Amino acid sequence: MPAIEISDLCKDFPLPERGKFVRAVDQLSLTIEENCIFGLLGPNGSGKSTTVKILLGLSRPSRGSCKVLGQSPDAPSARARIGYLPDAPYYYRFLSGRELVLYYGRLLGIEAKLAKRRAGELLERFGLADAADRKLGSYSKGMLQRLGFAQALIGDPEVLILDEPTAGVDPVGAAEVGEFILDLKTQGKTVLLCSHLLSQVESICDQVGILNKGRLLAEGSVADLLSQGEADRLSIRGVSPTARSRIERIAAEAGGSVEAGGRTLDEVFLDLVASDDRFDG
Amino acid sequence: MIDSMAERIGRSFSRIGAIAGNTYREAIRMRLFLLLALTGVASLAVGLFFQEFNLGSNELSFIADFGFGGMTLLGSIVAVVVTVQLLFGEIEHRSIMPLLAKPVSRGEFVLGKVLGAWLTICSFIAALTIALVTALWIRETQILAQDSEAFGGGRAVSYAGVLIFACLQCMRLAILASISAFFAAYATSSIFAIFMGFFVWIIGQLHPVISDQLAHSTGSISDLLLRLVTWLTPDMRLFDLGADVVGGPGIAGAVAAKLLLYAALYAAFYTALAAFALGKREL
Repeated sequence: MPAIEISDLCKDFPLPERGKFVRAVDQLSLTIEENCIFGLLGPNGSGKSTTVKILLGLSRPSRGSCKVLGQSPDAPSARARIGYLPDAPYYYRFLSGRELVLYYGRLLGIEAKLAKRRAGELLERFGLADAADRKLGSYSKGMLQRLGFAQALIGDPEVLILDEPTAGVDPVGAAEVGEFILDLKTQGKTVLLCSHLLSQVESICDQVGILNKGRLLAEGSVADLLSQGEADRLSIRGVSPTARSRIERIAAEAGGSVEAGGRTLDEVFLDLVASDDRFDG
Repeated sequence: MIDSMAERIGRSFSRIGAIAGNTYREAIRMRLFLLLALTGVASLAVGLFFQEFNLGSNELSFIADFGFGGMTLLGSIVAVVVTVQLLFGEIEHRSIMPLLAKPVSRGEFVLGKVLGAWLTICSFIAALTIALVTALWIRETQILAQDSEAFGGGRAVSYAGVLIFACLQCMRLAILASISAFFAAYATSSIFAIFMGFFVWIIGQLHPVISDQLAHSTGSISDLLLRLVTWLTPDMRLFDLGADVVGGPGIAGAVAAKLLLYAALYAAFYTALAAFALGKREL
């Protein structure tokens, strides 16, 4: 059974003008298998957050359907199996880190003793043990993001939805986030990662989907996406500097060029979005 | 099956309790409670200040009226503002997002928030009641020390009546809190929700005037609309029983019970409307 199944999903938001609406998600169909790290990429306004909201039961689709672990996200029992890290730390500044994690644990119906033990372990694991009893108002952005992981994991969910986990986090923090996500995969969890940090997505995701204007432009493994449109490219390794200069000369004579390194996900992403935008005029 | 249903209800109550507790904790930690406590102490100070004046046997009624008026007026302001702040603030600051991503329904969320706000309001009323009872008791004792026959050989104040009055105010404010929660769940700005909360409160206070108007009803559309308004809004004046407590007959148990039921029905109706409005809202 797939962990997440999205079928022909559409979401329209009404505009103030009578009878008009804007389509945030347009006929999106996706299947994410269990224990997969799936990267959902797209520029701002591409429909990533709306898709996430629908997957969490926070918004209702205008058309189509989605299932998480075989259940509609409207079902509380489905949401109990999902961990959610929001794109900004929408937490209570008057609570301490420990109180916040315990509060969410109580909402998940976890027995108090177990919740206390898990909260302690998670705060320790995410390097917040020393700050656990401090109010969130005194936490840095990086600490709040790590706390976000702790609260998302308190119910030991099978599926994690991470919405921009590296937004506003410094490169060291972003690298830590990458490690956390890989660690989740080793624990058998499925991760849906929405991110702008393409290099990180490229390095940690098994599958990637690229959204623009609510439409899915491409989907597949990172390797497949990187090889698309690569027919006119050659990857040459292990040549001497003399041989390389000869190759470069030959390429130049033939009207081509030689560049260091292969195609990156950044390039794939930008090419796809740019051609989609050109197509729309 | 029955067990499973009982378990589900139990878990639902646990979630509502957690949200109510967190809401109350927010009110305490966000200094709202400090404001409430200060108001209570100020009220006590004003009550005791009247010791300096010789107002005769009416003095206790004056202090009681002052205290009851404070409960009614300040309590209403607190009920509207605190409820809107605690519920709309959660939507505005988007802390509602990770919360509703947990197995929490929007109805449970609204009920938890209303209960948490109501706990805060009850704490405020409790602070004012303690201040009022203290002021009344000190002054009554002083008057009796000067003239043991001042109140015909007994005491003038029904302290149980004061407590019943305070409980009825809590119920009255539960209605106002649930009405404010409805507007907070529907509105896109907290100012609008606060304005509408006060608007309904004023209509509730004007019920006797509207009833007079309807007594001479001609069956016009405006009269029908007015009648609809009286059904939809509670009659807040029913809870103004302060005159019965000091020097009056006291508050009858049957009257108090009827008012409790009346308040519970209106509070449940508006809380359900708030849950419906939030359910339809895009977050």
